[in-house]
Amino acid sequence: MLTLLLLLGILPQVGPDTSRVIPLPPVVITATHSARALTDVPVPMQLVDANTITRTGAARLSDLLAEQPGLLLFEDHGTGLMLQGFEPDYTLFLIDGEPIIGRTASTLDLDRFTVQGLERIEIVRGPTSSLYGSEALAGVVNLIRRRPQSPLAASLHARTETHNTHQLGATSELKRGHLGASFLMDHYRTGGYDLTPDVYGPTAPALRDYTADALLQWDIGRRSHLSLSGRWHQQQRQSAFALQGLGYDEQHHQTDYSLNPRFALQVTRRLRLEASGYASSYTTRTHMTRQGDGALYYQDRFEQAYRKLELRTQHLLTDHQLLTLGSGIIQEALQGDRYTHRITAHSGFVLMQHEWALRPWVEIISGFRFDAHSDYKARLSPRLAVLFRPSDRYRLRASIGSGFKAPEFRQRYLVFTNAAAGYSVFGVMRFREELRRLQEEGQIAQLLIDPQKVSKLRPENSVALNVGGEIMLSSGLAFSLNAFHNEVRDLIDTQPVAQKTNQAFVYTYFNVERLFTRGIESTLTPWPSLTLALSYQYVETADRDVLEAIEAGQLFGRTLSGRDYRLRRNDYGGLMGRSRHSGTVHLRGEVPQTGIQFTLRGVWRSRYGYRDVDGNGVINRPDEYVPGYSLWHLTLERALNRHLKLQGGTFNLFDLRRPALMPFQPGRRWFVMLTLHV
Amino acid sequence: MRTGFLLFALSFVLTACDSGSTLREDQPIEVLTVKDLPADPLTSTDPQTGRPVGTGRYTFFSLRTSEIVLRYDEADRSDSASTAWDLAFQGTHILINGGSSGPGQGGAVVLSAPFEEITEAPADSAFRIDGQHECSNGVRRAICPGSGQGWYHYDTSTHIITPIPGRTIVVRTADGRYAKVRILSYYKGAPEPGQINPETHPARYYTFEYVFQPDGSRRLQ
Repeated sequence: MLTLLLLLGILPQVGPDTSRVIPLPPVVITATHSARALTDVPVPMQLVDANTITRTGAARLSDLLAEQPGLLLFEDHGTGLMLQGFEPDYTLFLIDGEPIIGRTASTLDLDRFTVQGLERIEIVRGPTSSLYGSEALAGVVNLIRRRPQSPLAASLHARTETHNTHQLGATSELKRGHLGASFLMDHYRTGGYDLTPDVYGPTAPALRDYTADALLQWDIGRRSHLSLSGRWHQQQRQSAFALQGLGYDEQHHQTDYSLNPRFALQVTRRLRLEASGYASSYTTRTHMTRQGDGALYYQDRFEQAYRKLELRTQHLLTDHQLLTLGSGIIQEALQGDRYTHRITAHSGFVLMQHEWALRPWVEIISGFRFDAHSDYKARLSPRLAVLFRPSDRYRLRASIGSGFKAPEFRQRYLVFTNAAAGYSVFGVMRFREELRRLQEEGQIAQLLIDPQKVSKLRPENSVALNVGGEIMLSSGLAFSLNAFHNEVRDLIDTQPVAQKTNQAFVYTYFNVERLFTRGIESTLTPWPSLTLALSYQYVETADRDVLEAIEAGQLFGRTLSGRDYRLRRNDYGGLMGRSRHSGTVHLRGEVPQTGIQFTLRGVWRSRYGYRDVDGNGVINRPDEYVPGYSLWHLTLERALNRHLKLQGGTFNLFDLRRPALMPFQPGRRWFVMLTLHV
Repeated sequence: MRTGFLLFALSFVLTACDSGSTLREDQPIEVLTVKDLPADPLTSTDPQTGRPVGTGRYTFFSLRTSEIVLRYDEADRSDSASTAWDLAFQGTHILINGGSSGPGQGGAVVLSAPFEEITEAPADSAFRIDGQHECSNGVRRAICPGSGQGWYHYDTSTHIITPIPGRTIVVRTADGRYAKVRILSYYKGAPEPGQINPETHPARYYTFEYVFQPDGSRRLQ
């Protein structure tokens, strides 16, 4: 914290934010790598602060993020986050600025994270690959740990919820002189639920989840700062399913940990140096056995490791210019049943960023990051952002930037043959060798393309424009608006490359698809003390190839009565899982003379496509959509005494349930939570 | 994924109506519907993979008489080498009576146009013949097999086969006359496309509608 303040001290003081009437805006770090006032960041940014985190009463990150303005959930092998109309794999998640690994089918499951121990969550919208590299295409979500602040403090939390869900944990913090430490232990378990009793097995599995987290920090003298943070997490899931009348048990274990030493040195008043190391590992084990005799039906092991070393300097060139230079190396390793051997890949990057307060009312940030990788083509990600501040009540922002997502390991290294169906899928790095093997074995009937045409993949990449701003209305209301357009290219998909003698095909990966997402995000919040807040988001998405086929009159739909018709632009419902309209309502207040505080949240989204019925591969019929819905959550809170706080409430107040369309929505959930602070 | 649509963005040439035709323009041609044609339904289980399998044999159908010439489950296969049939069905595969598949003059072309819009068969140069014309996936077939290649779309998550809307198969019969075919369903009883359950509606049963022009002209209206 000390170094953070030191940096703040050397930051260009340009804003007239010293006004006594308005409290100072919160400070954020994710948008530029430097500590900045939230209102003075030139890119669209959102903050979920400690107060919001505790007052919702949510246990997991998924429940917390689901009710924030402009954030929607996307269910695909877990609960992922959809930002600016992108699928979950295009949003980078960080913990204290370091990437979180471990995705299942591209989704980073938000149910994996407890909200305990978090100080705040910073969300940057739009591509931020110029700072963070791969995956920061739709945006970045940075989970920031609570820093030790009191000499000695501890808290206990105990929570119980519908579906046999329990949470128990403790946090503690110490701060003595130059030393500080904070600890977190959290245990979460749920019995799962079953929305379809006539189908064997639960809809959501029973799970047990453990998190341990620690942060140690040491201010060495007045000019340097050392910290070490670590996190360990384990989740065990237990489920069952039936196949052809036989019951099977499924067990899934996942373990991940991360370790992050960090050193910061204020070399001179104008120069700051930061070095960080980061090591993370993610392991899963899936085991399916037949009930009765316990025979092994299927098992899969997967191990992923990530190591990074990064050096960064921040140099105050003049009183109005801050230059950030950084570079780092990354090693990734992977091992699993679907890969032939342990795979390691190396990459390196350099980054540069220039923050320039040109005039008191205009600030320009420019920067780029260059990523070179052993397995795919190098990538340059530039960004340019401008902030105008014509008066204290107006902020205008415009930014243009490029984001990318590296080809996934499976797209590079997968060696998979489906025993039942006979087809094979090979990652591009393994393709030639595996094809040669099949040819030597006489399994290839014919080649469909020249194998020499299979080459290194390009990262999936985007160019994005964000334009918007804020107005502080006289009544103390703040209105913000952001319009965005993301043009995405080189999306990776499989294509057949050879046919086997058994008629099945051999597939590998190519950069083929193009799409766009565009829309408007807006919020209306009373400011500074938030009592009622509204938000609305409009998102449009489309596959460029589908639009071309529509343009050419080559794409058709079949009506409910069976007639075929040529699709027009208006008939096309965009990409799956995207609601065109969505919004949130937050209402906070106090019940007079009871000391009870309430928080009511509403989340609404319009219909979204979820399947193709008429065989054209796109969303166009009414029965291809999940109807729109709204969810309401209410939390009540009362301090029992100086140390004890009682919270209770309900998620999904009106018990919305759609077992077939929304198996991830269990219906109304009651909860009670007791927090003890000492 | 969607390249199939583009690959089949075949421009088709509408040839001018034969001026010497003795046809009466108002002569009505019937639209016939064939229901639940069995195309080798899955009857047994492969002992090695555990997958359900059929016999591997085709059901042969005549567009001219609107009758099945030879069912997949009949032991005597001699009729398959005749010109009595026009289309043969086995699973998602459809053969024409010509080229490598039969002794007839058959051919076919899959057009990207709604059934009603096809008023005439295209020129013979547009027709494809089994064993001669290569599909994008390398197979030589008039009606290309594979999801998005020919007449159907296969959903990899639900494993449902759905006819692609706006695909019309123009067929040249074994005796050189023309017909157009639109496939409506691949499941027994032709259930609503959103409500297909292969347990209650077994796969490999074709329901299709077609128009056959008996007078030998290209007119298909």
